[in-house]
Amino acid sequence: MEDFEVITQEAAGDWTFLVLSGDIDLGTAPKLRQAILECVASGRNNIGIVLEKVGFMDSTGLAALVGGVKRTKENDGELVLIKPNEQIRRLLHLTDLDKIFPVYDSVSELASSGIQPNPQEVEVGR
Amino acid sequence: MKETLALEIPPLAEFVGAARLFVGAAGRHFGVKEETVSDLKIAVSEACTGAIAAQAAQNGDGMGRPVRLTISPEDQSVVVEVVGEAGFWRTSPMEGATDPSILKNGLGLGLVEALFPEAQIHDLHDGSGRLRLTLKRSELDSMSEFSSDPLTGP
Repeated sequence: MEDFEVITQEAAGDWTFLVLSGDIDLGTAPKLRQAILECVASGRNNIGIVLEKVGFMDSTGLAALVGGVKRTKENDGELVLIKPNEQIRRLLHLTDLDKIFPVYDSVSELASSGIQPNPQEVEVGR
Repeated sequence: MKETLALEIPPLAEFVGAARLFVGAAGRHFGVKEETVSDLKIAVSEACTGAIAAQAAQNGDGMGRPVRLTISPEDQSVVVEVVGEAGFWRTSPMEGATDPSILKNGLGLGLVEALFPEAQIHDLHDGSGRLRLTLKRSELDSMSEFSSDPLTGP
């Protein structure tokens, strides 16, 4: 178990990437919620949540993400998940939330989907 | 000789991770399959979240009843229990999963039952609540913990 951390925020085009590490649960979900809110408050409404280094998430983490989806949509933006591990994918599936979160295996895949950022501008896992 | 492993944590959010670590290590110790360990961590995280939220609602953060976890072998199975403030399972239904305000304190019972359909939840006489998960042989890698006693041999 690692302490939760938003280890970097990278902007690429219209997108901001929150690169997370550690576990997301009752104790740490408020930090994620706050990081998303700060993005939206500063007008960055297209947010990629990079989960590659997140080892565990429970439903309190899902709550923060669902709240983020709601906030970004209210501002004509989007929130997507990038590289969640199997545990998080299972959680999304069990709760049917895989229907509301676009999930990508990499920033490059997100970029190739259309109006997305230049992946060269984003360092994941720094 | 049956061995029971136990951990007691204060009802504080920062200890939920310790509960997961414990149940992961204890589960592996008793031969629980890795995929079941993963589900067990989710269930325990949800249980602790619900217990802590219930405790906070009644007494304020960190005050009052601790959350106690036990894991023990029983008759060709492994039993995991989480005991905490009563009412911690009357939390969010799964159908509220798209509402962040409902999700805030965890999905609780809905998610645990999705993972472990035979989960048992009881309110106890002392005002606490208990989640009991019985992991059967199919969820265990090895029955070596049950076939031999470290003191007396097989």
